[in-house]
Amino acid sequence: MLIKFKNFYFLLFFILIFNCFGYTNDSIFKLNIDLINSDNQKVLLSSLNGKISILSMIYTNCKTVCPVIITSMKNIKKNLTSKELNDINFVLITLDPDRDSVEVLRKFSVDKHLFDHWSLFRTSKINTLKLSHILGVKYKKDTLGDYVHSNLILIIDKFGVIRMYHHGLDKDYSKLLVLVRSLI
Amino acid sequence: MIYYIMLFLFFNFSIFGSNKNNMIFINGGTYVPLFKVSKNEFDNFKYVNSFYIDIYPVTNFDFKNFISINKEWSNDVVPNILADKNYLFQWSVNNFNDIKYKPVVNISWFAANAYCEYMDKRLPSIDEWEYLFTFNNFDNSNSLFLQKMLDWYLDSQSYKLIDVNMMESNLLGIYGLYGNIWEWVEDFNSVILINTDAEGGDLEEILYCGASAINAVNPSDYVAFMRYAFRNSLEANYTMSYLGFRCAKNVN
Repeated sequence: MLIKFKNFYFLLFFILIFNCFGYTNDSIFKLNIDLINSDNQKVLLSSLNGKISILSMIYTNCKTVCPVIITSMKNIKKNLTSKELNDINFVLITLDPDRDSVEVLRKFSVDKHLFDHWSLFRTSKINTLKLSHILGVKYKKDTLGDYVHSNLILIIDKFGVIRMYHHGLDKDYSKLLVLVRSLI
Repeated sequence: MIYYIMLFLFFNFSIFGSNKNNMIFINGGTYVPLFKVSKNEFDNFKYVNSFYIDIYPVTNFDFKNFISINKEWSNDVVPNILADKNYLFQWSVNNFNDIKYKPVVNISWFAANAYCEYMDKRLPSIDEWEYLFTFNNFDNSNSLFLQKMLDWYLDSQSYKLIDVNMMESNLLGIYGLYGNIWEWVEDFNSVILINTDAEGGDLEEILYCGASAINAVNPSDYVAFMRYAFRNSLEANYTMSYLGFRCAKNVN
């Protein structure tokens, strides 16, 4: 029995190590799904290609982390020149398609002043799940209807390869900015 | 008259034919997930709605039929980000007839999900799967059963895969829920063991382990703990030689 438990901890250790390196150098644009933008237009995920995406999955009813993530993304934007911004999209995709309709997203973008270089999207429930899987975002609906979710800003290059996960609460953008500039 | 007979036959076939008859209806009910959502004992019961579930895991034969129509899922064209390089590896090293009715393994979440979508079904959720698991033939506190499960989870590689209809069935008549393969669930990425929105639920992965035991309703349920740890370790394009799937379906 004792030997079994030793094995058990070994396996857990192995799983955790395995977990840390789970990463593919392939384009997320190979996932063929539709997104709906805040102008109610249907676009393919692959339409994000050609520009660097600074992306996060959030939901508009979120009171705690999401406003911080958006503030972080705005701060990142402030650090970039208008010439650099021509090659960059700031992308928000909702985790909560039930409540975040196109109208809600539009109102949200007005309230938060998300205009130039920002794109807000929603998609069906199953596509939201597929997207979260391909982006490596974890989320879970809690008993009150809110979501526990990964607090992450992703840097995706022009070809759809995820290049960096930046923690949403991390105020040090130096590495991120170096990477983004190198991808332009 | 012949028209009516044909209509009848067609109707019959569409109800009882193909895959529908391999599903059973599962009455909704409550179960206690491994991880607490609150300190209040009552809140930790979770209600699972009624649903349909495949009696058997999906077989190599089933999946080959799917690929013959959905060529974008054959192993020579599927992109790495949707299924890693071991995708359907068993087909290249076995005589197909020998593994025909064995569960399909080396399958990614995306491929499993595409199969279920094509069948007008979906993958079961974690809650649905765990709910089904509570209907096993043994008492969960039975140490012999726990040991048997633990042996298998620790060393599934040395167990040989068998035809799906030869697998053990549980009290609901569902075959192979344990002791044969691990199974994909739709929302495997919802295993967030640190339950706080303020922290965003993505602290360093290494912290998961120690913190999660505190949150477990029954910390001695190693078997469930291993399933959660396993799911937590998955990425949607991973394929593994003992990871397969079955489909579920909403009622109505």
